[in-house]
Amino acid sequence: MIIDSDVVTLSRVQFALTALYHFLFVPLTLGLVWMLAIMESVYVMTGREVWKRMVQFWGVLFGINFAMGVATGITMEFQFGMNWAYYAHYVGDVFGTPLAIEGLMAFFLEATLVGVFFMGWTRISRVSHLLVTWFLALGTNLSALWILIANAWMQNPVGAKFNPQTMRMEVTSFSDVLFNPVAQAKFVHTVSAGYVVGSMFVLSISAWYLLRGRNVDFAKRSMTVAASFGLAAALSVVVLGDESGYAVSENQKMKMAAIEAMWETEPPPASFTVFGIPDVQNRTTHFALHVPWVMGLIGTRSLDKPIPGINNLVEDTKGKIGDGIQAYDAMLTLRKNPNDAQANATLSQYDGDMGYALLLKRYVADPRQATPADIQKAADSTIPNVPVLFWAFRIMVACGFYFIALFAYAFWLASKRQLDNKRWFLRLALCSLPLPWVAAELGWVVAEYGRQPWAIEGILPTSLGVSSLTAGQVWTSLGGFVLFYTALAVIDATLMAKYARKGPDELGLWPARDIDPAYSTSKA
Amino acid sequence: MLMSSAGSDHHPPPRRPLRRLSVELILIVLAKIAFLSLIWWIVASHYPRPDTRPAAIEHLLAPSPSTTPEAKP
Repeated sequence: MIIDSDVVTLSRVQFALTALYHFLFVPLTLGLVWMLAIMESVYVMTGREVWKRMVQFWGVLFGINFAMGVATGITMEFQFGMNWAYYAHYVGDVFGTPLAIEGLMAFFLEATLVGVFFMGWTRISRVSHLLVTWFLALGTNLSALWILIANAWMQNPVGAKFNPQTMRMEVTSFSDVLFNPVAQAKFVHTVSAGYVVGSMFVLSISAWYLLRGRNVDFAKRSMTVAASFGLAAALSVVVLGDESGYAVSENQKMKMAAIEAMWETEPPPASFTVFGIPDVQNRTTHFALHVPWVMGLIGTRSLDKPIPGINNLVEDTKGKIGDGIQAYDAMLTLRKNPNDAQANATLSQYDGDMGYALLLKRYVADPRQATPADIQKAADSTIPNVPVLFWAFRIMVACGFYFIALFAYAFWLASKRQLDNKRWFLRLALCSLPLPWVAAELGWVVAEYGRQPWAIEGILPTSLGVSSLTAGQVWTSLGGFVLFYTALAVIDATLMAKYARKGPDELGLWPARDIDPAYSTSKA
Repeated sequence: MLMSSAGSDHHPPPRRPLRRLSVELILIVLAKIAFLSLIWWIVASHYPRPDTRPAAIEHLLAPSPSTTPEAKP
């Protein structure tokens, strides 16, 4: 083995764990902050104190989430240097800019506005405070935009070109990076998923108050806001997810084929596999239940464009590896003689495929010496983990449709003023609390695990981006993160549960007399 | 059916039960920074920076006798 696969695997596991952990906090911040803005807008428009108290109470839980999430994102940025030094060098010119802007947005804009939000209630006017809350919501979402622009570039590397003299990717068009269609689709899909998380958080905790007969009026108003915002968000997340899926089918055909466990190219329009058991060994899907046309219509928005299957894509990849070897050879020639016109022409023609030659580095030191067997192995390595992607995607989508049904019913109950009458629904809403997080994390599993074996799609294999560390070092940092983050998770869950259980009444934000007498009587 | 609430917009301002929470959260953030710094100090601080000169990257991508990186960690 040419590359220390333990270091690569451990570094991937470490990054995945820290990223998934970070994204426990991010979507709640993204969603809850808009709900605070909506509630405070109602307070400013109506002048009714209850809406201010709602902002203050949900603001406490927002503050806990924000504080617990602080510094979990910077961990990932440091890992680019610690564990992925060659990745950071190779694409740092492109990747670093949106990352730096995101850092400025997150740390300076967001942190400042969070401070004014909590300290400003008695120091600035109502309208000024409302503006702060709205800018906090905008700033939070803008920082998400920049990190998603950086991530989208890893999925669809546009606006950059390889420079053989510096041996790194360099920006050719920042506007192309900025307006990358994958970034736009990913941004709206991700933030709307965050809005669903925020809505479910408010809906579930409010449902618990209603089940306990506490803070009844407070909880019903909160649920009404959550149901309205949540329904709009759940509908958006599905519609915008379709846009994100279309971007994948345009730019990451192997990921799309793996999500569908589509081994062979079907005559268009391709069917959608609702259920099946992907068999990687035999490259088939057992017990597949197909719905005709659906995948073709979603993935290509046409009736006559095919969605290529995994086996066909592997064959295409072998051709790209051949072209990549030519680019690779030209690159090495240019390293010795930058003025070699023939090598320049060859590199210009094939540089888009040079990354495919780098896939061979797992099997042979010099890709130019690769045998057909090496090329076959490298081509096969472009198939991601099909069963994981297949099921992660389906569970995520099922959750998405469940959220639409749940929020639609909550909205209907709210409009009929019957939110506290259906105890089965309140229990269902409470039990649904973890589901938006499950869906959001699975979405990232599909996006990132589905990109493997690439760190930058078609440009840089993940295994070449890793730092020259020892497995022992990565075990140490991984162990440290697991212990530390587990402790933080316990503290976070304890604090959240403690203050949610206290509620606005015990926190002195709402009169304790806001109780349901029927409940009190029945309990007595 | 409620004993009161919707109409009762006039009630005393909240006490300050959140002061302890604020202190706890600030301490948690400081502890996080300290622990993350500790992990970095144990794992990475003593380690030489990776060699990212073009020649070293060339060596990473295509090892050959003519390009020997000097400070590859």
